[in-house]
Amino acid sequence: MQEIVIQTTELTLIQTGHFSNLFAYLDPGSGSLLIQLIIGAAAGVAYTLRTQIGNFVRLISGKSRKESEEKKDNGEKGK
Amino acid sequence: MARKESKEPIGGSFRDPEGFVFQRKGKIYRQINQAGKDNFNLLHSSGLYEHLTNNNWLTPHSQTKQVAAQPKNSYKVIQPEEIFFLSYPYEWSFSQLKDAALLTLDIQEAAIKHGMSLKDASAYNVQFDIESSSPIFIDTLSFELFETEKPWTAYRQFCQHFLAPLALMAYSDQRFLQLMRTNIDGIPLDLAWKILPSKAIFGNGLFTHIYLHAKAQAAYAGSNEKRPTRRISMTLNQHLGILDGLRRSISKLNQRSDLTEWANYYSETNYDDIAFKEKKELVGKYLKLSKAQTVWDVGGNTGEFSRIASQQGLPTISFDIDPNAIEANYILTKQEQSTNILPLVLDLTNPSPNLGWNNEERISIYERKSPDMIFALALIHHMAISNNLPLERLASFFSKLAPWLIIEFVPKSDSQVKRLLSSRTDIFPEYTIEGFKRAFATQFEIKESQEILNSDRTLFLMKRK
Repeated sequence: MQEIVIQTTELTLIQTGHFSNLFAYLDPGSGSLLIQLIIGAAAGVAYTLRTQIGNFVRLISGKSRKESEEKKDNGEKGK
Repeated sequence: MARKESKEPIGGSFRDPEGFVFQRKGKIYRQINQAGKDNFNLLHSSGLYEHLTNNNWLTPHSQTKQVAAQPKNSYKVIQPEEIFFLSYPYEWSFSQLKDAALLTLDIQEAAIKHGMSLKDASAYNVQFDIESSSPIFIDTLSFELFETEKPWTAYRQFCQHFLAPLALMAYSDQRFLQLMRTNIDGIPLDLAWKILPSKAIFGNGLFTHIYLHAKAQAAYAGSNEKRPTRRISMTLNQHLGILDGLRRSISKLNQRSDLTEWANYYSETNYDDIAFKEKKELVGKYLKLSKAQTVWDVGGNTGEFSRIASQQGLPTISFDIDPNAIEANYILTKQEQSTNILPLVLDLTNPSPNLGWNNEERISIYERKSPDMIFALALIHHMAISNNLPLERLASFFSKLAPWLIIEFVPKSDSQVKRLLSSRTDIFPEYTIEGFKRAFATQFEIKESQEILNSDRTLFLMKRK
């Protein structure tokens, strides 16, 4: 639900031209730069929260960050 | 056939003002231009190069005293460790592209933590190391100084080269990866969004990274309004958050499990266990007789016979037309931690051509490193009957590829050929074992041949005349 709310807000900003005076001088790739500012705001908060929660969980479970990252890497890529 | 020697940049490396790749006496070198001096030095002084090469994420390079190809602009020349066989995204399976994407994100995150950033995120900067079956980044000059406040310049390219094709393959069809052939800089995001089914809308961040991204591109493309007064500014956590989001999106995308024509071939073929075992032993025996050092298994399916060569320590490219067979082969290769095998998608009747600017950015499959040996097992009937390719042309084709050939003749009495002929007129009077031998005798000398027990098929070892 949270994701949908964030996405809807972003869509409205773009579709209403809220940022139309920003970055307009840039090359056609400027849209790709602009969108990062929009999603970065939400992604940054989410990332900070996740990192903090991760740190807290590790503190409780007694696992080091390195152990957790190794477990994640093995699970995701299995290289 | 190797590419000709040149002082000019090879492949697509001419686009980078900081340097380029060139070839001299069969070896590959990279010239670092004066324009790339600072970034190249930072790559080393920041510890990023050491971190990436220690993890086998980046091809290592050595210093060399080779003269620069274009001395006027040169800062230095390095010799990168060579990749055994170049391959391109439209020749990969789903998981190969996914692993390449995750590697690119890992590298970008590591780069940020070392004060650098990828200035491009092209899928063509990733290759597969045949010894470890792992993706590896090859472009030493892709790194630039990280400026926290600026958005990631390679974000668009990452979405077009990795996220869009992976989403299309996961939600629609694996064959959409072939759009990478016609779109040299990745699949346009608006096109991807048009093709994606509605169920992709609220899943895996695709709405944000593809739909909104495409909308933003369209909204600001070609605009000539006056300069903005506010500055673009990002924080470190915003960068890491976007990377984390992309990683989560890609990790959640999975291959569709549709069955295709070849992925279950071995369970449907008319081989029994004895015939299958004998065929494998014969292939191994013929391979040893040839003393070949490198192998292409064309029509390799899931790599059952390719592994006979790779397990003998011979670098082997295992081609198949079916992306699901290549996916199964790649997954098995990873699970078994196999070495010396590289599964790749290839349609022999429409092989990867020269592509890009001046038809020189992406090299056709036949202009890359040729093998000593071709395996053409359970293939001839598909080429000759399904595709109407005359046997003489097939013989000529194989003789141009390699000096040695292990080929299986599948006669009309075989159930697989009967199936192919069941829905069409038999216009192949020459398709007999005698006609096959006559056609191939124009190019090859038959060194060995043997009928395979409990089947109508015959296996041949041939040497080019």
